[in-house]
Order: sequence, then C-alpha cells, then structure tokens
Amino acid sequence: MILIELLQAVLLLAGVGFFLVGTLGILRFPDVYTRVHALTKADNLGLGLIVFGLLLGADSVPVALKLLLVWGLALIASATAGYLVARAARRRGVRPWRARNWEKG
Amino acid sequence: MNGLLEAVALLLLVTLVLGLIRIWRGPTIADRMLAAQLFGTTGVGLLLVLAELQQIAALRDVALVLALLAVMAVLAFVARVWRRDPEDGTEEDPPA
Amino acid sequence: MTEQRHAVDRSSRVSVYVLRLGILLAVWWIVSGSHSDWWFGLPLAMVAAALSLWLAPPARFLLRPHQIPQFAGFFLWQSLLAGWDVARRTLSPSLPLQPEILRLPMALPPGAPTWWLMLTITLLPGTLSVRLSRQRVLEVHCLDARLDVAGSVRETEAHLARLFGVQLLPTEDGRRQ
Repeated sequence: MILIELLQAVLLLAGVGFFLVGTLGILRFPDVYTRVHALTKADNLGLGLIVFGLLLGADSVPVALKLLLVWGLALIASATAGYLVARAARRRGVRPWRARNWEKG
Repeated sequence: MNGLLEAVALLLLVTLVLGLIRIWRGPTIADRMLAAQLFGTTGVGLLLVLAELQQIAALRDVALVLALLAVMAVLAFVARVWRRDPEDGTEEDPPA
Repeated sequence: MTEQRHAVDRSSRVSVYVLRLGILLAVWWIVSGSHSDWWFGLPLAMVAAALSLWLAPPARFLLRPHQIPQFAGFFLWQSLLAGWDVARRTLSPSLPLQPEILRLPMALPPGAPTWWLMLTITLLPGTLSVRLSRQRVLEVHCLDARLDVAGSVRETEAHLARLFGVQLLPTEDGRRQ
C-alpha cells in the first residue's frame, strides 16, 4: 500500500515537472515551431503521468477507464492543434528559426 | 496524499499563470493559440487532480468535456484555416 | 455484379454499425459510471451509431486489434523519450536546438493511416508535422537536424503499416529530398 502511494507521488510530481517544462519551453524556445514541440510533447507526457498516478488510486474500473479516455482525447486534440498551428504559421510564411552555428550532421 | 495533491494542483496553476506571459508577448496569433492549447491540457490535468482531492467525481466529467471542447476548438480552427486557402500545398517554397 | 457488390456493401455496413454501437456502449459505461442507466444509454447509443454511419461512412482502413498492444507500447515509450528530450533541451542553459524542415515522401496509403502518422510523429521525439502536399510529401519540422529524423519517421510508418495491415508504397530511394 505504501509502495503504491509512493509510486503515485513519483508519477504525480514527474507529471507536474513536465507541465513546468512545457511552459518553460514555450517561454524560452525561439519560434512558433519549436514552441509547438515543447508544448505538445511535454504537456502530453505530463498529463499522461498524472493520469497514471491517479489511476493507481482509482476506486472503480469505469473511473480508471474515464481517466484514460480523457488522456486519449487530450492527446488527439493537442496533436491536431500542434499540427494546425504549425501549418498555419508555415502558410503565413513564418520562417523557422535556425541556429547560428548551423551544421549538417 | 492530500497534501501532495494540493501541491500538484497549486503547481499546475502556476504553469497556467506563467503561460499567460506567452499570450501577452505573442508575437504571432499562432503563439497565442499555443497558450490557449496549454490552458486546455493543463486545465484537464488540474480538474482531474481536483476531482481526486475533493472527491467530486463530477469534475472528471468536466475534464472530459473540456478535452472534447479542445477538439471542437481545433475543428473550428481547421474550418477557418481551410476556408482561407482551400488549395492544399500547391505553393511549394523551399525552406530558407 | 452490382447486386453482389451491393450485398457486400450492406453486410459491411451492418458490421460497422455493430462495431460502432459496441464502442459507444463502452463509452456510455465509462462515462455514466458504475450505476449505468441502460434504459437511456442503449437507445441513445443505437441512434448515435446510426447517425455516425450517416455522417461518416465506413472507413476503408480498420485497426487490427491484436496489433494494438504493440503499437501502444511503442507509442508510450516514444512519448516518454519525447518528453525527456524536450525537457533536456529546455533546461539546458545553451538551448541546444538545430531546427530544420525536412521533406519526406509518404509511404503509407492516403486516408486514416497517413493521418495517424502525422498525428503520431507530432507526439514523438523531435518531430512535428507541418504540411502535407498534394504530391504526398510531408514537411516535418525537427528540433535537431543532427538526429536521424527520416529514420524514426520510417520506423513509425512501419509500425502503422502493421497496425492497419497495409503495405507501404514504394518511394524514391533516399527519402530526404
């Protein structure tokens, strides 16, 4: 029981950590495209970790499945939104930011 | 456990507030859309944590509806973007 | 000939209806919780399934159920790597980014498999779908051009081809244009 609560705590805190990273990413990254990367990946993982953390304490099967359903919907929504934002930016001719010391690897 | 959930909820709220800076600074509409997307995902997470913390099962349904609304918002955005230029990828400019 | 095709079409519509009805009933069970009210849920699901058949005709591509666990495992592990990758770059003071837009020809058939690919790679490490041209070339924005982006996209394509049970179409060799 203690072990499960510990695992829950780890998952929840890691989830919040990724949310913080996602927000920090959209503040620090240089252009729209890179910000989309930061947001979609970090926030979805953050939500996923929180969902799995809460899942361990869920008191019934429908509640657990509902948590997963919410995560699935959020994944689809943010992957679609990320793609659409990137496409809209590209169509308006927003040039992707490039590193100054750019090298082909 | 409750103390931890409270801390988690509080930190999620902090990320929401920090996201406001991006809406304020922009510079493009797309950046502001991104902050809106951040609100959607973080809001869903916050609602799920609050549902557990306060033992209000209905908040999970609110989270579900918020996630669904996020899909709707995306669809609305699609409709607008597609109306603006229906031709898909005919103008192919090489990346800078 | 036409009659036969009609019959096949009808039976496939019935099976699609049953499938969607099943999914909707499962969703009803999840949403309404442990004390589900089936007197309301069942008719609602039946009407909704009929409506969905009218609004969205049967898909040409169906997921193969026995492939779902493997794909889910791949997806979860890659999401973890993606979040970790972004976190590492965000927290590093020097902000190690080498973004570039790559143009990759698609090997999956048009429709659902291609959509899945575009959404999946947006959630995978370092890649973001930007635009799909009519010539079926996908523009992918990558966070770090030094990584093997084309290779990981191709790996995702192979996973999706297995998930949908479809063949990959041939593309010109050297997917980078």
